[in-house]
Amino acid sequence: MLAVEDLRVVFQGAEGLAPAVDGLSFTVRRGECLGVVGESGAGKSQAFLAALGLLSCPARVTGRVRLGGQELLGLPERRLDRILGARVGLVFQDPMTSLTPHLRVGDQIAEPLRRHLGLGAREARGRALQLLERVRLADAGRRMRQYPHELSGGMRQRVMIAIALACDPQLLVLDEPTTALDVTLQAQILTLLADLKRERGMAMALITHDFGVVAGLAERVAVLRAGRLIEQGSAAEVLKAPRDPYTRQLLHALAGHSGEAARVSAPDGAALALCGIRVSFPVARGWRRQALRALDAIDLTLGAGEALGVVGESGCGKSTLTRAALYLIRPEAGTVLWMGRSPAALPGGQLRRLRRELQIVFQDPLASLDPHLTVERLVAEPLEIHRPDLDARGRLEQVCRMLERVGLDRTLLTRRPHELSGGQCQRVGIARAMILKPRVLVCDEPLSALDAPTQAQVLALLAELRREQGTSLLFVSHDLSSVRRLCDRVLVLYLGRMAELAPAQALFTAPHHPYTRELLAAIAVADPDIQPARLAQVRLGEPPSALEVPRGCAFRMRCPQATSLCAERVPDWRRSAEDRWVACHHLRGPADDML
Amino acid sequence: MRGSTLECAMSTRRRQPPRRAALAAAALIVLLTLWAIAGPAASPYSPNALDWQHLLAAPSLTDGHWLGTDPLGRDLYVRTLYGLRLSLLLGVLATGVSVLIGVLWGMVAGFAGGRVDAWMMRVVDILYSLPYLFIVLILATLFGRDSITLLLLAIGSVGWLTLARVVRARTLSLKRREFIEAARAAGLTPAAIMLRHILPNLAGTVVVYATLMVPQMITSESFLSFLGLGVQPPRASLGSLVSEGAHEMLAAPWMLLVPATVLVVLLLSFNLLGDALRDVLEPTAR
Amino acid sequence: MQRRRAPVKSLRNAYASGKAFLMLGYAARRIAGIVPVLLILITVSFFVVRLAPGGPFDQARPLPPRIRAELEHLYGLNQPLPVQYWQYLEGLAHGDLGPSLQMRDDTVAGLIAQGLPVSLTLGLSALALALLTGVPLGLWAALGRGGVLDRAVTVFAAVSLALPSFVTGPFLALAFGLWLHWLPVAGWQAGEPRYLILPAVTLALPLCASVARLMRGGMLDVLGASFVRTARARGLGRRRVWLRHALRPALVPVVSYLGPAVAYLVTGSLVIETVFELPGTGRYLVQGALNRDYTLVMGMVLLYGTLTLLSNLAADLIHAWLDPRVRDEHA
Repeated sequence: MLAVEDLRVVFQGAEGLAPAVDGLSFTVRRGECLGVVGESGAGKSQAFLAALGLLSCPARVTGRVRLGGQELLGLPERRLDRILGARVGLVFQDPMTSLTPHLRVGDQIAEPLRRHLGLGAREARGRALQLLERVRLADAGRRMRQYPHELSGGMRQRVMIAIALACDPQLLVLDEPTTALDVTLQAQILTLLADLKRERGMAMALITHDFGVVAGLAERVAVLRAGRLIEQGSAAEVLKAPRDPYTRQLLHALAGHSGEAARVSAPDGAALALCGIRVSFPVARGWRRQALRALDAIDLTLGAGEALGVVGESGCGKSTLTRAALYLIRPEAGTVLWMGRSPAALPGGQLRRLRRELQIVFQDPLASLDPHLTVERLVAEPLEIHRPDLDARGRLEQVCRMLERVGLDRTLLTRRPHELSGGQCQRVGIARAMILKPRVLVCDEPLSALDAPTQAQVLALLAELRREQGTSLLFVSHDLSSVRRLCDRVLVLYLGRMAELAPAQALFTAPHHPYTRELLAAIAVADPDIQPARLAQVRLGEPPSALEVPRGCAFRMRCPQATSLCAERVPDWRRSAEDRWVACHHLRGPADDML
Repeated sequence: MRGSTLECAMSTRRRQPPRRAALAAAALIVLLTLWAIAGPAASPYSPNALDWQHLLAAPSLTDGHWLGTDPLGRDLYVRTLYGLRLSLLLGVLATGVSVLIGVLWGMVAGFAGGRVDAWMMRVVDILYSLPYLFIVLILATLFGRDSITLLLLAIGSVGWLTLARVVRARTLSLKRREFIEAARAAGLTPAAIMLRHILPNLAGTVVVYATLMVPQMITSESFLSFLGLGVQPPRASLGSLVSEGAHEMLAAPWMLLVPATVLVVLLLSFNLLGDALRDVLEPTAR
Repeated sequence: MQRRRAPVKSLRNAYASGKAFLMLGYAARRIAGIVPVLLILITVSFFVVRLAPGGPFDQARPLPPRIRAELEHLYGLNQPLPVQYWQYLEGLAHGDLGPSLQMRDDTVAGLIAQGLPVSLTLGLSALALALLTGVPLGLWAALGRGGVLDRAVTVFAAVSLALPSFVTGPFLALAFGLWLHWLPVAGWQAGEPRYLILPAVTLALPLCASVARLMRGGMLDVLGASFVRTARARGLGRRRVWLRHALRPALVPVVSYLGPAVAYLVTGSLVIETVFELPGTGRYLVQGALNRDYTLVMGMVLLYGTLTLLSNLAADLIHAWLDPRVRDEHA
């Protein structure tokens, strides 16, 4: 179907450097899905964009690209336009910015239909509606008339797929189609793609950094690094018995070594406690001002030396929880306790002094470092604030020691954040947070902006630091496998409420709450034997908006077990087993049995 | 995605001409400034000395008046340099006034947020709803006719509005950045956060806007002087010289050409420098 | 767009008209919001003008005290300030801007009525000229990025922005009027187009440069956006992608500039009217302020203030029309 030979892409102005794509050859056969895997910057997307003449900046592209026998490179733009959207459909990574904001969804789907198939307005409209129904977009008739910003991310990605499918293309190119989505939505989109592939038998090229995504769909896999092909073969071969060490490293980084995970340390006294925390944000909706309840009824203790993971879909209040725990957001109700003391009751100066015991590592390593400061100043800042007894030399000594500890070279001292890689930035962030030896370290998605091998390294570093210094960890992540590797206990949040709290091992092996079960089922596993079957079971629908929390149990709209009771009453937070807590009407804990 | 923007940045960076233009502009500004300071002393004429032998003389190398004279026989070369000096001085000082007010106002509003912010920006909005030079004009006619200080205040006191808005917007976006949260979590006081983390990160923006403001201020002053409301005779600024030139343009076009050329070159240099600085210091904003 | 099937059409219209209704509400709220701003404006300028040193009857040769007192009595200037202020507001409520204190045969409203047509003609033709040239120039520059035209437009814009209108005005008059004799140097013969050309071009030049720059920048930003790439990936063809997908969002910076543009036109017209001796309203402002003609200055403040506020409002409404997200925020 698609045959690429010796593709080479050199960007203008980067002639001296290595080409972005360097002598790449692969084929996608009819009815087959090729997974193209690599870290960011490996040239995966560039290769396809270059092959289809869609690069946004000037570059020299050489080689051969054949689509069904027709050479694409060097084809005049008008001829290429007749192929794009008609014989090749594309879906891009970020559904939030990939649709034209001022055109209605229906019109955007109708566009390629009218252009390539010459349909009239009415026919195109009818076909667009069918397509939307085909990609299982709920309430398709109404969606047709809406603008992209009125749709959620998952819906928009369905629309993108509908557009790509519009003219029944022979080849579908998917560029990180699920990267911007939650696990649950990712699983749904992957299921949809698997169905489409089975039904239509079209060829697919799936570009991704995630072997789990590839495992459910691809028959063959190509691994890229720095614009070169590292390894190519059937999915089973590459995923189960990789020949190249780099592939092994990528796979290894990804798979959770659940074996060495989670020793529950005996909590002796709470380092951090949250009691009945509620946080709301005012949101303007037209004339009305409405409160978005980000967190409600959060009761949580973090023992000394304990690592507690917090998981949930985006918008469930994970980040808000970290800010409330650090008292950076004042909760509307409830109490925060730091080592038994309430920051709300402390005068400003004492509060600031106490802050040295609680530090935070952020999601975006670059944004969390002041861009105008050097690494030295960044790491030294907490010392300047909290250790006035140290002189410049004492500080420098400590900074150097800390940098060494987090695995950064001393030569980086004078660099500024934008001169560092993402992983290095995150290490600086950790050094800065840990230099005062705090009792509590809060991590807000510290891995999500990093590539897989870097993720594994940073995770290992956090685990080591925790072991050495006995720091308690509050570890927020949407990535369940990293939570499983690092944490003793795990809290599952759903729309700002606690759904389940349990020791990590127990939660991952035998989830109690139906939501936890679905969440775990949605994780993509990098095993082509298991993953397709897992995809077939995905059920969860669209997550509701935090502005329209359903009455009763927040989860009931997506819950397979929902009954009338769930619509009436908010389930109590109750104990379901030793050390396990859950908020669900359908679970009978030991306490109920005793009644 | 990230890769492609990087590649694009690299390919645009190769386009050198803007940078050369900016260097030339900076050099020109320095040159003009030095000239305006030292030039008049090096000339045999004083700006207000009348030369009855050469009334309205055309530029010539032989009679000593290189760039000609005005109807009173005053040497245009020296007068233009004096005008340049005054215009530059007023432009820079007025910019200083504006920057001071604008940065403080915008930063405090943006950092305080809430009701304080709403009120402070409301004031800016109202002032903004009037054409900017119009307020200057009223202030200048009412208070500033004879005093350069007052003229300065009149021009400078209105120029800060845009800067206040820009600085506030930047402060708001900085405040949302995680490193400010990190600073709070580290236990810094609000004042220290503003001083250590916000102000230095505003510096680029402020430098860019200040550079672009100088020509605006010079234009304002020249505009007022052109209307006869700014610098009063016998003092001269580029604006008042252009105004005089416009009256004599048929008989003595050099009287218009000379100060106008200097003014335009000056403004162009500042604009080019400001644009180039913006490309370097504020790559996100265009 | 396509509206042939009846049920779809009615549904669509119902949906659209609901939104349109909300937008009307927004416009009404914004217009209502202008009133207090104007009131503050009137109040502040009323007192600033009167607290300034000097008065309308201070002349080189002082008036006899008796005549002066009579004049002050006639115009109510002998009353306490708050009373004068109240009387002025009362007059305004009836649409009365008061008599001019210097040109004693005229009312302020009458003076404005004389001058406004000239100023409006000048301002609107300059605005139209700037948009009609600036938008295409900016577009061409962006679409041919890095090419000859792009560089030419960039240089043209940089130079034009450095040319104050009080420099270009006399130059153009010198070149086209005095040397070439193509166009009249100055004056205004009942709006005869020949007299309009030089002033309008002078006024439009920097505006055109700004518009071209904004248009170029806006288009370049949008062309780099991922939805443009998506549209290209649908095989729609460059031209269609530019016109249907990229143009509207790219116009946003130009539209936001509308407010500042009108402010520029107002001050720019002062100079132009002086240079080309046009009988517009600009001169009243300068004269009024210099002669302490209180009512005239107030009239001009009110006129220009309203004009600027309305143009800002128009800019916001057009922005909302261009971008459905903004529309929803407002509605």
